[in-house]
Amino acid sequence: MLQWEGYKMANLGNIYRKNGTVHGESEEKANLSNIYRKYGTVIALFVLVLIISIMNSKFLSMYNILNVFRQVSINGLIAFGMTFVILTGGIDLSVGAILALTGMVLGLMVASGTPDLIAIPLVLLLGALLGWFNGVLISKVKLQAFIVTLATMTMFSGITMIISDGIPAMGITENSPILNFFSQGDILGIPFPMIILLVVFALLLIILQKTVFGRGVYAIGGNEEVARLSSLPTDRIKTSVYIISGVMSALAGVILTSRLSSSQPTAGAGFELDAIAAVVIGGTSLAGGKGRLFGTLIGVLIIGVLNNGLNIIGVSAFYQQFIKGLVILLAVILDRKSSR
Amino acid sequence: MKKLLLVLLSILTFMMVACSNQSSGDGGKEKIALLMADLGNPFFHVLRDAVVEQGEELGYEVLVYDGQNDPSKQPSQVEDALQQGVSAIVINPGDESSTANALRDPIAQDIPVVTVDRSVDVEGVLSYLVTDNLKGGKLVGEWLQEKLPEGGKVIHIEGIIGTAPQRERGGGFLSVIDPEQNPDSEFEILDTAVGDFSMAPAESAMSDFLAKHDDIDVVFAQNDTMAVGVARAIETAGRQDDGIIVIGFDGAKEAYDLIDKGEMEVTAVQDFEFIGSEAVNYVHDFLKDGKKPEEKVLVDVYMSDEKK
Repeated sequence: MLQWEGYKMANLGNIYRKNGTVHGESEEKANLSNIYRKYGTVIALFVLVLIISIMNSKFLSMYNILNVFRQVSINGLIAFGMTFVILTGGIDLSVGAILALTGMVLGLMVASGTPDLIAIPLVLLLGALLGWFNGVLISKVKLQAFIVTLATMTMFSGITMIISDGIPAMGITENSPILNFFSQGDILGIPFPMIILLVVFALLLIILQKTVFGRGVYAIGGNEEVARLSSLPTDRIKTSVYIISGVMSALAGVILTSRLSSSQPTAGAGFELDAIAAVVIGGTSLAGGKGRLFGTLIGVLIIGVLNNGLNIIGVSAFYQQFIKGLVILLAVILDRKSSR
Repeated sequence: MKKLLLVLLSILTFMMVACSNQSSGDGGKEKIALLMADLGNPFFHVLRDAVVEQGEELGYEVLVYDGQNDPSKQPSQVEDALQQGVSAIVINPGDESSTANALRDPIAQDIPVVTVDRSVDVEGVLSYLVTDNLKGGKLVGEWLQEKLPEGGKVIHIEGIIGTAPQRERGGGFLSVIDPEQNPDSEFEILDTAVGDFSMAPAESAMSDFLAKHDDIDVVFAQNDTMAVGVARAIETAGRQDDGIIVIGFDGAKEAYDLIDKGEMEVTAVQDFEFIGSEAVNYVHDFLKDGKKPEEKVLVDVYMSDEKK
């Protein structure tokens, strides 16, 4: 039985079928599982921050807080895009590869003299194109998202290696102050990557919660057949979420390239896992149709705090991996329990 | 749908034909297979180029394979090379065991196999050329002792755990610098992180350490790619004037650039050009005269501020 959390189906009516049972909009029951559902992840984040700062107060130093903000922006952007994709019941494994490819194209362009103001938007467009490629194969050719994005992940990485010959582009931000600002700059003391993250969050939140498109995203994840029969343009919506994911990955690629002042051909490896982890920890269901963008933001912060905090308190790298995996497992189990 | 399929199929065919390594009627030239662990690491390009150059100069055709940092790809690349009828194999293995079985074939056929930079756990390898990473690590430690005789606080960024370079460079370095291993050491190991020989993890770990520690004197990164990441983190934090000494290992071009700019202090230089061309010389001498070189050849590193 699925409860509908965070979406209003006013246009499609409040009732429709899934597996023969009839669901309606859920009422706000003030029981423990609903409290967890709404606030659980925030409480978890708070507890995590508390424990780590007790163990080492340096964690809460201004420098470190800004440090964490800067670090989470990359995973955060990818995770936001991933949220859209997962809400439709899909998955995008190619995000890391898109990041690498767009980052490399950016590096090569800048190195050959292209001005930032032209290179950066072009590269975002490339991300959209790569995402569109995924989207078309999944929505029109009707191939499985897992397989498609697995294949494109390999293809895009291959293209990155081909155009770079395996050699990273270096010293990129030396003559590119705008690009440099993307990772090093700040406005009123807030690191620019964090501002990008929050602005994008606000934009995507509006799209997801306040537009027909956004409602369509949830509808497809809930029951694609019904959504299609309700004359939602499901193919277009599905393609669009992969385009969003592609653009987000490209934007993350711009920030990472700026941050390292270098385009690494092997960049982004494994980024899809961190993004998916953030989405899952945030309470979005991998089956689709259920979840909130805000949850992903908290999930991103939890992972960022874990990564940084465990370094601050001096936990060795292997234990860090184990702990991260354990946290993801716990999040999924708790989520399962609260949806019964 | 059919059109899409047709387009994809033709792209596939075209790429396979156009990008294949097949020699077009270059018959008569003997072939040497070069199997690289990971051409995604630019420093290994120096090794590749040295082998290709020396090989071609001696009249061979060099077939280059990229393991893409996945040791499990290399066994089939070995078999592929044998299919191509190579006379010798120079391999930079991704790890010590994955290719052991696959290499038994060429060894049994008396095809000379030379391993470079990392070893394979198999009998019958003609020679193993490697930088003396242990000595190199120690050299770094000794350089540091000379640079900072009063000691200091050290951060250690390690490479991929379990690889020989990580074990030996770290081991050599710590045997000199770690007070637990060397009671005469005036240094303190503040913190250690695993950077996997990559820039992003090293940059991230360093930025965390900069938040944690106000006072850092030295950072030793086990390869230059990580050292560049460390330097970048210091720059982002605005602590370039702290006087943190950043030490790398490899002798990569990026390191030299940063040393010139003052963002890195020094690096331990590996002579990959020598290793690469010597590997080819060994197989050449064996194929011509049956000459057998030393079984293990350790090549010294030198600190970048030593030679010009």
